[in-house]
Amino acid sequence: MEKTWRTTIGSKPKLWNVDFKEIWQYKSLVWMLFKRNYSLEYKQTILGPFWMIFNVVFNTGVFTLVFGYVGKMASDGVPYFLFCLSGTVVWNLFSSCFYGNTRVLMENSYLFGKVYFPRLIVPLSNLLFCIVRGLLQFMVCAAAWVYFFIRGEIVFTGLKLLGIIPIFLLSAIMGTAIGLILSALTVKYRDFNHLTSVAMSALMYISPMLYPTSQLPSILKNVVYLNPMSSFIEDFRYCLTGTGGIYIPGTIYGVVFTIVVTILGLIMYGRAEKSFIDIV
Amino acid sequence: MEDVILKVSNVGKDYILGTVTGETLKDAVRRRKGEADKLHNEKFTALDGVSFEVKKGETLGIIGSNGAGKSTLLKLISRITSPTRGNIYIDGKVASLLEVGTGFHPELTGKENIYLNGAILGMSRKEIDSKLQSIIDFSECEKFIDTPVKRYSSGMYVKLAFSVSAHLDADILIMDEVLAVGDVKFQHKCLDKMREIVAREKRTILYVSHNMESVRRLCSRCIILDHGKIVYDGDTDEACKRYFGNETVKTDSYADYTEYVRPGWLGRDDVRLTRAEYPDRVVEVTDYKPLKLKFDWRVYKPVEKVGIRVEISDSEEHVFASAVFYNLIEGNPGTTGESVINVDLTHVENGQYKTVYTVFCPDQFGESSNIDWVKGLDIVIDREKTDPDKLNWNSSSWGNVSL
Repeated sequence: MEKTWRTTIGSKPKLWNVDFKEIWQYKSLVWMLFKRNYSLEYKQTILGPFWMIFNVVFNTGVFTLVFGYVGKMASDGVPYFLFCLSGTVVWNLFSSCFYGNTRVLMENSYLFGKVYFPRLIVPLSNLLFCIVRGLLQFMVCAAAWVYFFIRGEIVFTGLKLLGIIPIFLLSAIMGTAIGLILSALTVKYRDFNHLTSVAMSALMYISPMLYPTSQLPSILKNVVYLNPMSSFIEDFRYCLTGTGGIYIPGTIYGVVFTIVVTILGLIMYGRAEKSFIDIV
Repeated sequence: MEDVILKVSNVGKDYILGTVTGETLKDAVRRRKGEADKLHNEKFTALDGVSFEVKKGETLGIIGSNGAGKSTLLKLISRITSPTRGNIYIDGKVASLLEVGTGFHPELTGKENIYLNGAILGMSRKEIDSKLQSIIDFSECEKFIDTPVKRYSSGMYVKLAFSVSAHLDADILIMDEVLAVGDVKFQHKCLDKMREIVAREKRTILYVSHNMESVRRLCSRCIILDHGKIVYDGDTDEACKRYFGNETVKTDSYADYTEYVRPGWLGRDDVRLTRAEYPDRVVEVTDYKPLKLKFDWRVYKPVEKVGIRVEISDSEEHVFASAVFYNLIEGNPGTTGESVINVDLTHVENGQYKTVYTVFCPDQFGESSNIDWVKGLDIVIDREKTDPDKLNWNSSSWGNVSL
């Protein structure tokens, strides 16, 4: 007699309501939103995606001039340009994943208020978009690496190079997860909107993006390693150029941190998506 | 039981009035502690205890005045927001069209938007590929399909948007007045398409509209919502009669108002008429004696000095006379009672007249604050001419009242 229903909409939100099967059914939407993001950013531009490459090169050039050339900052024996560029690529990936998702609920409320689809689709497509952008920026980094390699200023690190793949992904996931947490909080308390940009630039300067940790006194070093991105940036650089080193406790901390925020992010986002449309 | 595709069971939805977080920190803490009654914000119940079932292939119309909870109900069924109480069971894929062109982006071309909109509405890429030509044909926008939609005229925009929606393959389609798009020709095309879908593909449709004509054409069954509750569930014609009120619920000598749907503009519900009756069972007035009229009423909020006004209008609904009776109703919530009034129709000439009964309460400026408003029993006056010297009354030139 009792019928089994395909969907039940209840009043009590479940703690964990990530439905991977449903997300898979909507995979074409991830791709469509990715394409939308892409064309929105580069419609009516002639150079298109070259703008992101240009941005990175320009920023790194300025940093190199200011910190490397004028400030004579140490860089563990790697040309400062490459040192800075490799840090920038990882940090940019993290921060673009983060910024892309902090306002995901608010910015898409016009969509979420009219039609149902798994709400995780949008952050997923943002993640995909940021990874592709990150890869493009990595291409610049790779080109710089080839240039310095030919000039004999760095050495080939062999299999260690493969290590950049998990670090790349972990950074992207961590950024997205923190973004999701913030987007859930921002719905109700918009104070977080104002907090993010300050917090992000603070985090950027307490990471070894512009300087090596080997230069720091040990107290400051510990502060820098509190930033979960710090060890990822150093690991990335180590895998790419072989300088610096992998700080094991820092890396473990980063990985655990990523796992925790991912779970927390999925839970908080899942809870917020159920009712945020009444609040926004 | 097998063919029930949607079951709504005792669903309620509350909204918090006022700003949600604009309150004080104290309120935020109290909310956490569950001391909801001390909050500054009040709750507003948009839906309360709504239950119904929809069978496969049924087209259900949902009607009700603004604020009755129609859109909230659709939002709950389409999973945009979740209910505060109760459960909704769905057996199948739901596609909701609460708006045409959801997710359309002005920078993208027509074709790109078809793919994007289709994907948002839950179509797979393959599905859209196979329907693309048919969508473009239906939209009448073939020439502009590779132009960004920001350069479209608003008419083309909605045509394209509706075309995507019309090609959706879902078990349950939810539509909120989306048919009101485009020019008249296109509107008809849309309606025809919807009917074709219903008739041929046996799909279930939930349809909300204020347009009686389209509800009648499309729906086999109707629900009337009023203040978050279902007040009627059944046959479309009967529902249209009740809601759109083109025919009153009267019989010849009495009218029952217990299930009468009040017009949406009526702000107050302190007192409700439950029944009106000609106690003498006369339907036709044939002499100059006052017409006796009996009202049954029920009080919902404490009131005093409440009166009833009988407004008399001609067949074109122009009110030409009113009889006002003061101080008929008072009491506390729950009080019921009856009032008998005598309407003096001496000066009203022969004819058939419509009436409206308004329950009112005079405010301090002497204005009438209306509490209840129902269409009343007809008054038919057919008096024999007793004095041969008098003129035959010519209502169309001289009006309905002789002074």
